[in-house]
Amino acid sequence: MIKTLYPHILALSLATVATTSQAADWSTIVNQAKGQTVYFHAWGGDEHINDYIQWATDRVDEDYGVTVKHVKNVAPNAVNQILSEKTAGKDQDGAVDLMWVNGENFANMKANGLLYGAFTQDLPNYQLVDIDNKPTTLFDFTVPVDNLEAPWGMAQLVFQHNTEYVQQPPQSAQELLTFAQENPGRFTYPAPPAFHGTTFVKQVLLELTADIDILYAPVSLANFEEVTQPLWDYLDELHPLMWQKGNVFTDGAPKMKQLLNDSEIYLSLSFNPFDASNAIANGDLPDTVRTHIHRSGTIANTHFVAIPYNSGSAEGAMVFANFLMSPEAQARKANPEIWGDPTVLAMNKLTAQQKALFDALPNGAATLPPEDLANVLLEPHASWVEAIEKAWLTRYSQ
Amino acid sequence: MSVLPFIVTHGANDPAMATLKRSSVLTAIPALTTAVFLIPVILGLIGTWLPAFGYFPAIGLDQLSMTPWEEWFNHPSYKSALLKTLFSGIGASVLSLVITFVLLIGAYPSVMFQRLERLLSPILSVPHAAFAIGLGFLLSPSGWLIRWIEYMTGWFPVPPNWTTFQDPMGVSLIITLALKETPFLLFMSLAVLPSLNVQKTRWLANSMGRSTRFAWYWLLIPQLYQQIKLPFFAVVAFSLTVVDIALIAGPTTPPTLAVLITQLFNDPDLTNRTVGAAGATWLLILVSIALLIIHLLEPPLRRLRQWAIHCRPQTRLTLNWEAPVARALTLLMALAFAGSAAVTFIWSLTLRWRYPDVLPSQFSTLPWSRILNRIDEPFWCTVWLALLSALIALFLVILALENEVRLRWSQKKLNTQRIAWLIYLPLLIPQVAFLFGFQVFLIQTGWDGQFTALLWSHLVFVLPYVFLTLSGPYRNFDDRYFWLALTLKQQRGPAYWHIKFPILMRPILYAFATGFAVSIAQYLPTIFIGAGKYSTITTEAVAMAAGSDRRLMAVMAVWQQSLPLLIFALATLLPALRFRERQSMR
Repeated sequence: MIKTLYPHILALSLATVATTSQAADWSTIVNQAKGQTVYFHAWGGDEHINDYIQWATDRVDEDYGVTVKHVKNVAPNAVNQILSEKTAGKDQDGAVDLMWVNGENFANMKANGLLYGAFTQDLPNYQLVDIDNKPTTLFDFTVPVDNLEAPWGMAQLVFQHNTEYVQQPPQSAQELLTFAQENPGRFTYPAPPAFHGTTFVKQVLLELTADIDILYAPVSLANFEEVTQPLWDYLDELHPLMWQKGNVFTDGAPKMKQLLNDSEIYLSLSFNPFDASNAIANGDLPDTVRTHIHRSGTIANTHFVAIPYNSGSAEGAMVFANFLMSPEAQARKANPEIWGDPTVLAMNKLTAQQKALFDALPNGAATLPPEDLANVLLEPHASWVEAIEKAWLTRYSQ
Repeated sequence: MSVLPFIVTHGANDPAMATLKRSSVLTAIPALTTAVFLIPVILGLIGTWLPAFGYFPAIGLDQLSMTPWEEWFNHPSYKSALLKTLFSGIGASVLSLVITFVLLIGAYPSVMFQRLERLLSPILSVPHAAFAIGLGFLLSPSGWLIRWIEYMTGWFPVPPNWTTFQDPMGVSLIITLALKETPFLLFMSLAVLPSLNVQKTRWLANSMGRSTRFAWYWLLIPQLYQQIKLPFFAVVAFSLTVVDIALIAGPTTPPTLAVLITQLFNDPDLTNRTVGAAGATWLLILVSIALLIIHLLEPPLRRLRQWAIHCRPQTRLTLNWEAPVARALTLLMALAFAGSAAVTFIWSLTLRWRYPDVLPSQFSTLPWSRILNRIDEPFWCTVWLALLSALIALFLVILALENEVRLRWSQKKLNTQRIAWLIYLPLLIPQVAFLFGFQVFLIQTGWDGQFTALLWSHLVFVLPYVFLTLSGPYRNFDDRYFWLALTLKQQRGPAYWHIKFPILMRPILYAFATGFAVSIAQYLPTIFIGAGKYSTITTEAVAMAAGSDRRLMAVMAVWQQSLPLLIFALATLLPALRFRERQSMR
């Protein structure tokens, strides 16, 4: 009994020590951060997100004296920058201080030592993150986060249908195939390795695989051909029934949103459950668009911000990352009229006042109620991604 | 003109020769100009070749190996992407050359051609990506064209499930590229046509019983081709390696090689960057082979020409198909550019615009006001970069060309064409590949993220185009004007400023405008070399293009188009104003 209890007590006391030392650390960090300039590399394709980031940078400038510059740059370019710096031996004061990242980019940066080190445990607002009910805040595409990146928002694969043309949206991969047979040319998905496309293929694989446990172990342990055969049979059947007869693919969900608005397709997908409501409010989609998911649940994950190993303004980056996790910033971000990105925080860890911020949020007509969205699937083991992408390219891109 | 033949020779006692000796500063210019390109390119290539052979210490690869090459040639998409690249790249280049010739045969010289000439500068100023996006708005299955057809016929209540853009074979890519490259080749041809004596050659051919078509096919086009060979090679290289247009108008599964390489460089799996580096090196070899083959086609064509001139029986084919075809092509080209610009402009003023409406259901200035909030910083950064890089390039190119003149006078043999080849290197290499190596060098010297470094990276691409646009007219300048001026002014400087510069003012301003437009269009150099610390209108436009909001995309495209358009308009207006009282200079 004592033997089994002992490690727990030790862990508890260590945790207490960590908390006290952390409080001291945090004020030091805030002091060091003052006057720093943080270059935040984040995708800039959505003016709502850009506006939101602008608001957040103004706020940390007011509250902490930290200047944040939003560099509208995609993660691969930011990684290229860091790689160049590492190649040139510039291990200090690199150009990137904070970047928006998740999944494979994170896994590869972690594997190649391009990240700053564990830091989120020092951020006060990290304590509010819902690590119990949102396991993807701890495991990014099954790769342990190890405090190397700070959770920023939640994502879940959702489908969008235009009710002008679709009364009963498909509730499973099989029903999606039936839909395509009845409406040839009115569905498509982005070509892997584009992120949204790979996610769709993984979703279908999860739905078509009887024993999904095998997908959560490294791909080398599975008989890849056998496990994925139903997937390829399915896609072989689906592709000729897709938009442009499957000869042309889009490069991502943004392009699909245009096609949905143009009525070229009737059914689209997104990684943000609030996306449709936001797009309707903004005039990007007709108000007849609604969101749905599959009966089996859909793939969900978390997106993060991470500090590169050679940032010269790491403290400033931490202050900004902490602010992004604050109830104020998270509630504003979750508002579909502003961005509509689901929060990473746990409601039961918030004060009544903080929780009220979230309760006051509009949901948006095209958004699913939270209980429907609770039906989530975890990403397969990260090693499946590369194998699936390669097999997909071999079959459909040559 | 008639006074000029008096001053055809010059001797050592010539006052001009004395001033020439003092201008030794000119001798340093080619070296300086060459260094401006060669340093980034060579460093960039080394930075690409090392990872291509598996050496990439930043991700723990520190041993040379052939693995990247094996993976490149075994990439599932490689073979098909190769075929598509060759088909679309060579197809687009040859098509634009053929269209250029047909337009010349059918319409030069004529009133219609003068009209076409006036269209050229606005067309040339349109950034490639903005044009491709506009063409997509026009041609896609839910695009403006189908909407008008639906409006008039009611055939398509929902957009047809046709492939009209981004087709798998790359036909829409060929058309987009050809539409953009033909004006460039035409523009380059116009610069040299006066020196070919088109009218006289035609009269001569006619007086010998040969047709006008014969004069063009066998006498004029071979000469013209020699003069626009370098611009044509630039078109070939560009069409084979272009990324942005291929992303917008090209095939998707698989895409062209340049896009595939870019994807590999952007892949989350960092070892794929070595595969991308091998691919980039291979693409460079491919471009070189293509250019070599085109070069080797010349001798057999020359023999064909000999045979045609001396032995070919006269044919009495009088059907003049070139003129109507030229007219139709001009109309088509004008429609494509006007349509693409119009639909882009309408999108920029849209709140809601759905299929099948031919016009937006709600207009709004909201897209403009949203962008206006944030345009200030990128706008000035763009303007300064473009102004400075175009000015520096112009300065270096003029000095290099003056140096050529000087060497010609001192009768040294100098093969300027050979130097010109070096200038093309930056255009032959896929940007994403060699910028990485250049970036590493700049970081090593602590120069990255500096405005001057960014300016340098723009210069690497601006200089070749300024050289390309200016060298033709500059070399065709009749030196005898200058000698005449020297005898009157006695001094080189005033002679240059009062005579040679005004005569060449129009091409010089055009070269400046071209350089300006090239700088505006740069995306990857700004991102890579600027270390993300500088944003330009183009980086903002590309960021917008990654999203789904067509209205903001359109606003950025209009911004992107308006700056070069303004400069081109000034380049046309200034000489006209300056010489309004001089008939022959207008």
